Amino acid sequence: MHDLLRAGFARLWRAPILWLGVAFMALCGGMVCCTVWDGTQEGIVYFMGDLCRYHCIVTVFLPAVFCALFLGTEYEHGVIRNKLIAGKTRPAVYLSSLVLSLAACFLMIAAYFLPVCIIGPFFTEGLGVSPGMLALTVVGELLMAAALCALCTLGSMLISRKAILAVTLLLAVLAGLAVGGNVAGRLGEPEHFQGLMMTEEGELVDASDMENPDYLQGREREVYQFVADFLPTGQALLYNFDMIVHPWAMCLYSLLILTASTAGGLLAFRRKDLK
Amino acid sequence: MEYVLRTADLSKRYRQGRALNGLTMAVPKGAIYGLVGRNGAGKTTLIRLICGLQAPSGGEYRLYGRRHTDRDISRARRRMGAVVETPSIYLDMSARDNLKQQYRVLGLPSFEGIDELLELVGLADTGKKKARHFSLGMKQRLGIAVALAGDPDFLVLDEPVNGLDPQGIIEIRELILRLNRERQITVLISSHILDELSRLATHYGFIDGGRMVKEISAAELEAACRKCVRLTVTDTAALARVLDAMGAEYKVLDGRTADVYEKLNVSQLTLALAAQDCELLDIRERDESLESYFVSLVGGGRHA
Repeated sequence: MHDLLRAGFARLWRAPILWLGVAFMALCGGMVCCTVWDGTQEGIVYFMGDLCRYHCIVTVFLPAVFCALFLGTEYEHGVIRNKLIAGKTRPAVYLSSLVLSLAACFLMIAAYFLPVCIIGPFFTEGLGVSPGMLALTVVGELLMAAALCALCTLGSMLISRKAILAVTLLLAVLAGLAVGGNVAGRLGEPEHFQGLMMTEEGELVDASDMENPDYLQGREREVYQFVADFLPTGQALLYNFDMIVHPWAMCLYSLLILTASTAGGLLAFRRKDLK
Repeated sequence: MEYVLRTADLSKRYRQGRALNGLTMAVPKGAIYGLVGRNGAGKTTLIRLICGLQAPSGGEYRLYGRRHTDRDISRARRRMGAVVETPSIYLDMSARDNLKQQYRVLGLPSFEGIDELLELVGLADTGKKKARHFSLGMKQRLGIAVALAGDPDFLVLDEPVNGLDPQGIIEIRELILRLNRERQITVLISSHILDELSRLATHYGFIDGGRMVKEISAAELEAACRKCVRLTVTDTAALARVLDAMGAEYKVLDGRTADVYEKLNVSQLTLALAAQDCELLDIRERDESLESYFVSLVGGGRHA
């Protein structure tokens, strides 16, 4: 596998998709800093903890785009065959692809953090959370990205047509975000209405004590919370909008997805007939 | 005889049906083995199996004596290079970078030998030109160069001259011959272009319906396809006496026909036969090519 990684990284460093992704994420980081600076001019207080979360919705697209364009080329150009004919084992080919997508994705996320960590402290007022919680959040975000990388690598190793792969991965991420958004939206419903509410007769009444019928309770809330915690796209939304309830469980779920999808992918790739 | 590749009762089943159906073959060391068969006969499937791209549904194959299920089959596979269908190259890289990439995959400690390889396949002067801008022939030669990285002694080429212009075909042919003669590389080559194959191969395997119909050496095939004159006479015993007297090489097929492998003076032969009370009824020149041999083996219903 060492040889495959050596070859893979040599190709990765020259891949335009990597540097486009890095530049894009650095730009995202810079734009977040600009927005924060703008907000501070209007008296809004920001913390570093906030800045460390704002990349998550964009981050979910990184593995899909990278895997479709970088790993998809291996099939499109047929070069994956050279590795197998050269005597490399299928698990080694699969795992080296996973390592490459993880490395690329982490590098792109690091590019976001670079301007945030350099410029952010000038406009923010401290971390906003305990250092331990901030570290756990960042680790969780990275694990979420890793889980997505594992899922996208699985797709890349099993779908041999690049165009189909690209469409499948992007649609899967969009579908995941749609589900995650719906679930996070329901979880974000307040338990009680706040402020005034207009009745059907057009009368304004104080609604601060009225219960919200859309508020999820009991078993239903647990299920919704589980879906949001489990799905990487759900996690992305929870991180992004600071709705984290179970930070440790989210990390654990990401690790579970990473492990299970890699094990399943290895098994399926082992049986796959390559052309 | 030492064999690089041996298959025994090899089969491969897809959802659509069987692609290989108990194929048995043997590729001798140092040979240029031409795999001949129609579309869908199973040539590419066989090559995919040998290259480890797919697993057989039944039977076995041995590469350098190692069974395909052996743990160290990958070690045997390191001794082979292959171009399966289209050349496997990074189109966004130059010829040199493609070779460097393959050297890294193989774990070679240095890039020594790349210049020689580029020279060998005639791509030494392509510089930084990306492979996507190469002609089909150049891509094919780069594919072969990539397959040759790591100095393999068994090269598998699937339809290497498909789509090439006459110049490209000649270049590939000369390259294969050079590799076989100068580097003693054993070559397994599948091709539709039988005339082209007949200029290269030292051994042939005729495959049809996923089975090996016949394996034959080029010398045996040449003997079988020898130019001859088929004579139909009233008495082959008399014909034999006349031909013996003339010192001609011949083969009696039945009581009325015989093949003669000599240029004959028809007038002399007719007179000599008349003296033996034998009539010459028919005379035909026969020149069996690889193509007609193939058709006679597998039938001519479809194209080769």
